[in-house]
Amino acid sequence: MSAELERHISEASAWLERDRLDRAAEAIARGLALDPNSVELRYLGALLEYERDDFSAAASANDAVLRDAPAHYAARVLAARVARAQTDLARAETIQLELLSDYPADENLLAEYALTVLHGGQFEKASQLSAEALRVNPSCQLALVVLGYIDILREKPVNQQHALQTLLQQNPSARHALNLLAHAQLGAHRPQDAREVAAQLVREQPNDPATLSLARAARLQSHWSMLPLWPLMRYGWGASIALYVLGVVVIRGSREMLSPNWHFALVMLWVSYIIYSWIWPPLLKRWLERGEKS
Amino acid sequence: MCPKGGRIHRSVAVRRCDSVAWAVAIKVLSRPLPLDHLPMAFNADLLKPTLQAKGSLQPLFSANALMVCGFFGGPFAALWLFGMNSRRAGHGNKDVGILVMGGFLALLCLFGLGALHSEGQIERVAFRLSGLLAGWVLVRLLRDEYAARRLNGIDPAGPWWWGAGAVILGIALEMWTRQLMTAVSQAT
Repeated sequence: MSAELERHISEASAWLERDRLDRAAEAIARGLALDPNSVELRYLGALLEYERDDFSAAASANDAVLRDAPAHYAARVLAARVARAQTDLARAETIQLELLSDYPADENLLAEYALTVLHGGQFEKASQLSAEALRVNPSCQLALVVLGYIDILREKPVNQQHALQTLLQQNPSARHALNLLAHAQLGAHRPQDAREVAAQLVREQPNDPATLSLARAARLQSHWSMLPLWPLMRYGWGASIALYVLGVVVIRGSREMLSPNWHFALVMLWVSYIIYSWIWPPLLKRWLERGEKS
Repeated sequence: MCPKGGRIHRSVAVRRCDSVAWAVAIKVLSRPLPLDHLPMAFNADLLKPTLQAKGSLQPLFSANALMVCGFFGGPFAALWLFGMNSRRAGHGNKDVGILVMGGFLALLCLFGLGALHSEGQIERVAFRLSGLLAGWVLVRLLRDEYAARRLNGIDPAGPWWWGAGAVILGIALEMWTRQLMTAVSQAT
């Protein structure tokens, strides 16, 4: 491999790591002009398509790499990732189990498999696989992220989310740690805190749709007009059931106690609140989205 | 009634950590990978495939759809949508016990309401409340499946036709049990 080709490969890898996809594409194109058969560059091309969320293009480019180099570690990992992104979890699992039989104590592969299993909704197994990955390498970031996600989905209080705490202690400014923190705060119904973290992430990645979506959710929940809906946001359908029962009991109980006008006002207040809880959040969401576009 | 907007957006942290993991994976290429032994006390069962029967994930009817159907159509409507979700989730016969038990409890509930012999608000409220409670319990049972779909960025299935069907079925069953109870009480 020529030195120039190697330079293009490392340049493309560096741009990919920094999410500068256009620059990475340029570096890959320059490298492929020198050697169109370079497995590494073609693999990086497949990775580029994956990062662009074009999963079918990534799959076909990566399959071509694997035809020429079936043992290519990163291409095999990418094949599993693409299958997972396409929600073909059975195929992702097959590839990852083959990889794990070749590299049985690779913590990243264990964590990757944990992530696939988590996508399949098998939380317990995902948790155990992440624990195994952490036993091999206690600072395995992906395993910590998987455990952090399980904590959020299990609605654990933020102060009991040990994986998140470990991530933040190890690398407090890492994007994946901050992302998880923002999600945890959103899950813990602390949208104001989530909004601050999300704003920092948006400053770093202003064009990332997932980050923008997270920031929008935090803005939506922390908007002043959502304050009356706090009980419903905090306690979900439990609060809705309580609101229904309470409304019926209070309205029936107050029929004899209040004058017809006051009773009518009470009924209208209750109905208006219910309608507001249904109508306003989606309207506000659209309004915020439109504000971002303009 | 629930505007709960705190859904986990399409694997945000996962997508980002993908980049980090890729940085690690690329670095890993340059070092010898296979170790000659697994860590002590490794549970080999963890490496047995468990996703092969899953196929691709199908969208489920949302928790909101289940609750709204429960509210308007009572416990049977919620149970009907739960059964459809269970099939879409590929649970096979796993949830048959829940469906049978739920159906039995829902029938008991409807017969109990029918025994009130009331056309008034209390019966209506009790019917809706039983539907809401059934929906709430059934949503909790599918919590992991909902989480998996959120992680995979799969939007819920459109609930209108099946939801309307479930509500009509629930209301028809409720009316039938009420008429049955009235007939029984008149006969005795």
